[in-house]
Amino acid sequence: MPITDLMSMTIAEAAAAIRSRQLSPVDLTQACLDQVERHDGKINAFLTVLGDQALAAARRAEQEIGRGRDRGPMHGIPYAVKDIYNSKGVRTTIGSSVFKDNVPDHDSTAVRNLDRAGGVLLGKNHCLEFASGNHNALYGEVHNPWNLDHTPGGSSSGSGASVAAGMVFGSMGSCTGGSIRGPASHNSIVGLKPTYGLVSRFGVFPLSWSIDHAGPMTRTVEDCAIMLGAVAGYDAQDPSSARVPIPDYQAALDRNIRGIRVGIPRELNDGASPEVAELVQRAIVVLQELGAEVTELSLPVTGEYTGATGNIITWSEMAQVHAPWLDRLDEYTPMVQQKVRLGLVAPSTMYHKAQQLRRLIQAEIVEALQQVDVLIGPVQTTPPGPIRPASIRGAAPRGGGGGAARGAIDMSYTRTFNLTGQPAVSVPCGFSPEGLPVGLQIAGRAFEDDLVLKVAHAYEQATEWHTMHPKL
Amino acid sequence: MAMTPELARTLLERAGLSPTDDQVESTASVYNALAERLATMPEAKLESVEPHQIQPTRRPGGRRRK
Repeated sequence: MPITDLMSMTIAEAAAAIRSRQLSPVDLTQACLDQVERHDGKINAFLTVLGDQALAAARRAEQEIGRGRDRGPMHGIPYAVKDIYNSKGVRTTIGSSVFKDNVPDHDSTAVRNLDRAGGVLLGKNHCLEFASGNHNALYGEVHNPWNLDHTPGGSSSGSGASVAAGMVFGSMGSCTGGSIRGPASHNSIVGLKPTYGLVSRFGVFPLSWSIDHAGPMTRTVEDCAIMLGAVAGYDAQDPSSARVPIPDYQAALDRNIRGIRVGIPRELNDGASPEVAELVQRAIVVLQELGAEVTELSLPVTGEYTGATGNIITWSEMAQVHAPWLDRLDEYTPMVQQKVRLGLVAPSTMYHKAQQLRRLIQAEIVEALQQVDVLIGPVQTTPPGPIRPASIRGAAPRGGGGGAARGAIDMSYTRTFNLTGQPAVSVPCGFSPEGLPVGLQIAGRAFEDDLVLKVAHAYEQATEWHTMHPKL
Repeated sequence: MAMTPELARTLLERAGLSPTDDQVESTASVYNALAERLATMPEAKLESVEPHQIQPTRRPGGRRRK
């Protein structure tokens, strides 16, 4: 089978061709490596590319398939992981100078699971420093494949850009406030923050233990379901891992969403730019045409307290995570330094009050999800903005004192579901007049990731956005 | 209680840091914004609310679909 356009090929299509021996995993891996070679000089999505190792893994997959062994739809598929996932014997930088020579002696559970599923690890994706911050001084900026002058979002920046650019079929991102859905939205791909506890975080460098999630980023919802199936499941090495049955996420993707109740929370839609709001409104119409019942609702506690609550918890936990490296804090970028400093001065009473507020936010969302099946809105308030000049990128959050203070309490559409643990996906919903991508967020009840993906799939298949790819 | 720059400096120095004046000002400013927002939630409404723990979804919230 000729590999003519990597960006339009899906995991599902490649897996079918590999199983029927029309496509060689070695040829597919080489094609992805060639794509990286051709385009990563201008995109900068990878910190490490595993050429020989990936080709060796692809040869093993090809030999296994030749012997009749079938490890499932990830067998022979090239993928990447954000460079905060440990990979045995492969440099893992956490996007930081502190870990620039770090070579783990073990795999993260996600890498191990994808290896067992026959996936081919092609490389480690660029990310924001410590999965936080607003730029990466050491490793340079990642550029959005849709417009190289614009940001791909973060912190899973390289994951989003590499998948959109056809360098890999999927990448594992991580998410504490929106770091999977944000880059997915900005790169016009699919990104799932699964239910807390569904995907192991063992071997993934923590930002904030109680809020961190690991999840797949792919070009289609079906691919997201396939990759989720490979990484989901109980892991005794992650204390937050949940013992729940793992459904066949791919099989659950029928297109019938007639009667599904869709909630439009005012607080998860207010503040979007006009072009984003218009695209989301059009998406709502598509869902209605598919038979969904749409209801507007309000989440006042969520709207008022998500920003402050999320930042206090994240920064407090972050300060403890970074305690071993406080003597090297001046090596961090200013924004990350600022967050650690805030965590160091926040008293335990503030942390626990934030955790009380988190209970109220979760209760509000749980109640809303008893009235409706999913909640939808934009992922980001705007399409991806231009990459800012280095002099601004190096500044503390939102430019220092006053701006940082205002930014610290801002509402975030995505962070809500990091606090509550419920699953939320970003699916492409169109482009701004300037041709920049916009994503739609669909969130659902805990451990109903299958329903969230089903609604996203139905919407995706009713629209054409997933058939559009950047011109590199 | 508001965080003064002096208090912020003391806390950061106790943590082993040597912050600049700008870092102290920014830390106090952001802290106070966060504290002011939290203060708008009356303590009485939190009396019976147990703080969220590290595993929020062990017991899944919401009802499972039939």
